[in-house]
Amino acid sequence: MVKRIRVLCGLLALAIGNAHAADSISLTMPLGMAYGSATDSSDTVQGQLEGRPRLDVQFAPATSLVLSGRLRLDAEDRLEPGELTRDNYASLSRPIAFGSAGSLELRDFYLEHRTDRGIIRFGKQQIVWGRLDGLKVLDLVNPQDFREFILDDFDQSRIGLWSAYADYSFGPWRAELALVPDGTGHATPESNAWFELRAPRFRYGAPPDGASPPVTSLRPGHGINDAAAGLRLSRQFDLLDLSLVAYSGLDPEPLGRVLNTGVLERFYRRRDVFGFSAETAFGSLALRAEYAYQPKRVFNTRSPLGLVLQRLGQHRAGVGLDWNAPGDFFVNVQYLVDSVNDAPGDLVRPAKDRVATVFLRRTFAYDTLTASLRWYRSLEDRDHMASMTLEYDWTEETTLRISAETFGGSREGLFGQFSDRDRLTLGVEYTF
Amino acid sequence: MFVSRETSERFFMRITARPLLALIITLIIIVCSAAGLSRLVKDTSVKAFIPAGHASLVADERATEVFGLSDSIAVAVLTEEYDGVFSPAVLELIGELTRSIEALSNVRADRVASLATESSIAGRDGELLVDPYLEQDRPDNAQADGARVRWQGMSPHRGTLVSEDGRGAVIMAELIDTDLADETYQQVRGLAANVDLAAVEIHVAGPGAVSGYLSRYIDQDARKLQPLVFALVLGFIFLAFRRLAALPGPLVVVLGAAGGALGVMAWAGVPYFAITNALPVILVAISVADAIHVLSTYYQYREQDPDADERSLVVRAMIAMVRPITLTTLTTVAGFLGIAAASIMPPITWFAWFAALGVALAWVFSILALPNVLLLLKPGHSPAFRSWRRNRPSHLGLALAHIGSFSIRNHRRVLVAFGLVALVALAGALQLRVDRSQVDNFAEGEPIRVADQLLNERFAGTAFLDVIVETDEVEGLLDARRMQKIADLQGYFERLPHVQKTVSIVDYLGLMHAALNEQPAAPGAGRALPESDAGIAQYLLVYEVSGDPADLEEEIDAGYQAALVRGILNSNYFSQSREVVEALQDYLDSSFNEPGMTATLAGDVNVSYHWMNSLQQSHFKGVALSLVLVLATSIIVFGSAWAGVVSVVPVAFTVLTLYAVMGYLGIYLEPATSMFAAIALGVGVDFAIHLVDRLRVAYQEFHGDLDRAVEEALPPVARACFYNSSALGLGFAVLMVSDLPTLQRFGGLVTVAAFSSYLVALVIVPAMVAAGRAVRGRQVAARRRLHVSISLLTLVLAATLLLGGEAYADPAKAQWVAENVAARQEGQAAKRTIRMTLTDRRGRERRREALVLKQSDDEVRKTRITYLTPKAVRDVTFLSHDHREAQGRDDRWLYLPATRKVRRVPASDRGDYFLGTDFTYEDIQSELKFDLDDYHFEYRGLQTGGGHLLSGTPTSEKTARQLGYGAFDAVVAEGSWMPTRVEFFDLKKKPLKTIWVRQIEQINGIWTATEILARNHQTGHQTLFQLEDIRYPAELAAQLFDAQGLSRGLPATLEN
Repeated sequence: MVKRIRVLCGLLALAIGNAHAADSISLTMPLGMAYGSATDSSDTVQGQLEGRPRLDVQFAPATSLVLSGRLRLDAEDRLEPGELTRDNYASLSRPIAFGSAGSLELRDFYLEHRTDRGIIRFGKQQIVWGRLDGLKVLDLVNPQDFREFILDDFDQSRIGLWSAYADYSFGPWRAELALVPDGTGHATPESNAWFELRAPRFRYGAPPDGASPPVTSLRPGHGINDAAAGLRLSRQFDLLDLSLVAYSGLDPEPLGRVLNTGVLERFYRRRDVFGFSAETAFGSLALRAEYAYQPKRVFNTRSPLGLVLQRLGQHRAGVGLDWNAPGDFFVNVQYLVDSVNDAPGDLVRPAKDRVATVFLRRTFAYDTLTASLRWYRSLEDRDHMASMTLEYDWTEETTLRISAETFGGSREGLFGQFSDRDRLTLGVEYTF
Repeated sequence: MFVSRETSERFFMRITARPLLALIITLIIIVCSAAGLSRLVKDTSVKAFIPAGHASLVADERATEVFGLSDSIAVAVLTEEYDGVFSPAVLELIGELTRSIEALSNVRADRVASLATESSIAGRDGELLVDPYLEQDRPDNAQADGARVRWQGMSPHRGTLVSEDGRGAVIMAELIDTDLADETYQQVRGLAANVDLAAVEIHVAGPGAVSGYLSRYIDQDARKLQPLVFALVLGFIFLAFRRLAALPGPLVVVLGAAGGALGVMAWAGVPYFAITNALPVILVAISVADAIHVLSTYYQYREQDPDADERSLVVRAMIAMVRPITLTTLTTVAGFLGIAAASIMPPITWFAWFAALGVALAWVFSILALPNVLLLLKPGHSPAFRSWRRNRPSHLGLALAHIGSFSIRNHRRVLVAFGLVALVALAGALQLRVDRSQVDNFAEGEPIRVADQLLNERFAGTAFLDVIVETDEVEGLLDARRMQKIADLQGYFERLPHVQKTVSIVDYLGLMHAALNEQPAAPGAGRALPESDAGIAQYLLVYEVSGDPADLEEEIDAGYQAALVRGILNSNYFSQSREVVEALQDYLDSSFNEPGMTATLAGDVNVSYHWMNSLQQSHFKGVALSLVLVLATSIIVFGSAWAGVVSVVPVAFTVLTLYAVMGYLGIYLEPATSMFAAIALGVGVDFAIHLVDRLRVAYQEFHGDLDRAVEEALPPVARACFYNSSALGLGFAVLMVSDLPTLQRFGGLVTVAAFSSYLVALVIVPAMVAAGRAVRGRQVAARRRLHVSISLLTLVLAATLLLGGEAYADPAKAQWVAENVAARQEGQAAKRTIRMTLTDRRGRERRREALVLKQSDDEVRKTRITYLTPKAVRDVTFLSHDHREAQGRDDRWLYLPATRKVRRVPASDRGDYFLGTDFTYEDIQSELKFDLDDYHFEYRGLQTGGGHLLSGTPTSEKTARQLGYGAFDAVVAEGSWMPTRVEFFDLKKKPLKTIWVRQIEQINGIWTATEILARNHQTGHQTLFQLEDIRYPAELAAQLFDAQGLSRGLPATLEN
């Protein structure tokens, strides 16, 4: 650990030392405090201080180094109780845990070189290929941290990976190539966490209220076997932005098997994904769609002997619509379908998922006050989630925020699993 | 009657109930308004006549900014000695004078040019020699001869620094503050007076000296003579009533009107322009007229009813006079409003506005203060009105009435005679020419005039016409082809009449080329240029090394991006320079301007050309509009078209007479003399109105007996008008003895206006009345007409106030203005940084800074806006592709670094507000242009202070909804075709917001708004855009406008 920090500091010092002018260094640091309270019990859910420093050092006209991190200190320790479990992380990507008090995570640390036709980046970074909001279809390079389920902004919950990324335009085409020697998977909250994923689909078919078995993980690594590679080709036609994606890498969703000791072992398998996305706009509407096909993806099925692996094809498609509605409302409606081909009845996840989302936003007082409502509904599980946020830019640097979320439906459902997790959060953020 | 007699009586009884209190209140009002005079700001410059933001002024400011040019004083050292100025003694004198001038506090020491400061260019053995003409303070014969030889090879200095014959040299000194030009001129004259060298004459002139000295010169003479005029006017009033007690009343009215109007002008921050000198004159004339008529009636009643108490006499006099005074006020105000509406020159516009205000104040004080002054002073009987005791008019009144009677009896002959006189006058008026030369304002023999003439005769001249050549990139002029183009431009320029010389960087390059190639440095040979770009760059580098780089700062900027071509004309007359300006502009448009290099005219000659052109366009229109308004008002108030015509003919005739006098005497029309039309109007209309009104009343009183009506009504009013016109005419005739030609012309023309308007009114009004029986108008529904008249006049006033210009719609002109705005260049590509300051109604500010990139072609206009600050929104980027043909099919993308995704966003309604500012997407993308397909345009004339008034209403409800605007009213500056103010209305036609373009600059030949303020009237929120670091490159990298590349951020080279 100390060695890693030293290497980091050394690289940073080198970059800053080479920065060719004072204005080539830019440091921002949003510092936020959030207080969350359970609306059912009035229990405090979080009392969190979060800092997200970001440093941009430009040490040649076209070359820069970007470093961003996140420090979280939570006095309540309900979102991630106990010391942060980091089994999903590859060794170099793991955050630093401060016991149960919080963690420090390196989110971005990359060297970027820009050319006339593109960029090349090396280092820890996020690569975003999806077009939908809050629904992962082709946003598949970086795994996600579900510490706050899907309530956090995806940018904040996405986990940066060590990778090489090239983005190059040739004629009307744009090619993006990602090589990711980092097998980090999704981070899921542990037992007793506020947003612990207790729906059977996340518990390998176990009921929500059953006891959690002891868990161990086969940690992903940085070797070739765990490395991922992806290619995205995009082209902007007259009215349409189109992308084709091919990707191969570790599936960020862990599979499980029950060891002889009764311990549940989580492990990762590769997956291949082919897909496309498109986006267009006409009048006050913008339409976007994503489709991904994963042939022979490995799934868990339950059998009397325990958890079994089975390769099945999976289709995942989503469409979204943006509408600048009358009354200055911004409306976003999305629909996601996820189905597994020839799904056996003992598949631990549903054979089919259908989710609809609606997002409403309106700004007031010259964009200083933003009210938004987000509503998710699983059409299969017939449960739902709604979150409302009111955000006020008090000054240029200071933002006040109040948000609330509510869940409803069966405890076995995607959203209903949190039906006793309604929360009200107050927050303030100051950007230095 | 105007209003019922009972109402008038009740009104004046109330007014006169507390005379002392009323008078004290009046005096307090006068003192308060006149107190503003201490804040009066003078602006006697030529530039004041050009509306702010006018292209010629902006170009002039650009010349000052880039080349440091400012007004200068020229000192000519002339000698008839054999050696001319190249004798040791004269050179030594030039050196001494130069150093003394450099030491003056208002002189830019680094911008004094003479033989003592300038250098010659020569070559020897391939080496460039840049040597000062005077290397020692006391040159010997050899050095003087050497200087002569080197000067002979220096074409830029021939005719400028030293006259072609070598017998005159000039010291040009640029001024720091032109407001102190007169003081500096006097100091330089002091230095010249101390020169004690035989056979040397020193003369001081130059644009700075002329304008500086002129304002003081006029001011001094006017201050000296105007009190005398005022005293003479009062003297005539005394003569008319032969009572000292008759004077305070008119005095209070005059002070109230003139002091009030000027005071309000000062409080309002409107400067005192050179022509404002005429304002007190007009106000004296009109105020005195009102007072004289009231006093005449008062004295008449006093004699007719000697036992009546003072108050009833005063009230009766006021009741009798309130109507004619009000009528004359209404018509005169209407006349001035016409002038205000038609003029695009701020001084004339303001003049007319405040003249109208003064006339209105004269009415107020005549009604409110005059009766109370009379009550307090109790002036007693007037010997001049003794005959009225027997109910007989005075001899003078009777004699004047005979003229009227004669006119009635011989009305046909009289009208024919007037027709003939009018023809003669018309012939004279046709000879009137619009022209101007500042120096003509000085008396013959005045040293500054002599000096100016000498400088124009012996040297290249004193009038400068500059051409600013600008390229769109740094070092854009290090280009042999472009330099050759400038040389060709100079060649054309020099072939134009009155152009004696042109000087530019090309001349110096030519000299260097000749020197380095050891070619003969002959005049005219200096424009052979190196053929390669490298050659140009090397020559300039060599000069920087060999000489003082500051030597060329008037010719080329430090970045070699802009150059100045200075043309010197030996004539200051508009009529002569006009041809040059127009021909040169044509040449620039047709043969010079090209992508990447544009030329703009600047300099005093260009400024003069534009304002004289404006005068020519607006003056006659203004006078015509005034006459129409006077006619309309007269028709309304008299309820008779013929009475209206009768009232306006004397004024029209007076104006024609003035033009004739000017035409026959060779007095040309210029801003100062154009004011005489206003004076004629103000004075002339009053006499006619008084006469018509009295005759109408008397005609009704005597049941249609016209002879009786004339006999009874004419004597008192003719007498009052006589004293009125005499007081003015003879009073202002005093000005003809002034040394100043301007004041002489002023005095003479006011005198002509006063007498001719009176005589014409006295003769022609009865004749026309007889001919047309105008006075036979019915009294029926007089009150209704009064209301109609006041309503209509109010409408006229309101329209003029609202529109500030001509209240007529001209579809062709509207389209012309809109097309010019739409065709305004915006550059194929543009880069600028916008600092945004967003302020809410509570004054809280938010600041943003964004980089804006634009690229356009025939099909699509691409705009990329990337936020730079604050940190919270840094790198947020908005990209739009607006397709010109496929309306509504615009593509937009938003890159939010927080999501790391480029997102195609719906093309919002164009009326949606742009990222929390008060500008809509349409405002941002249209560059303050109005899409010709979006609006129906209406032309609303010229606004007060300059600029076309253009209104627009969306072509359909759908378009209105898209734009978010129900209508707009804009002020568009001619030349730049930039809207300087746009008022937008919402869909319900309620005021929505106003956008002010507070600053514009011409950058690479493209008019660019550099400071724009938008204020939303409904929310109180405002957004200020300050544009900096503006560049118009030929093109920007296409990738910058590629949506797919937005997530890559900005190239580092663009960010910095």
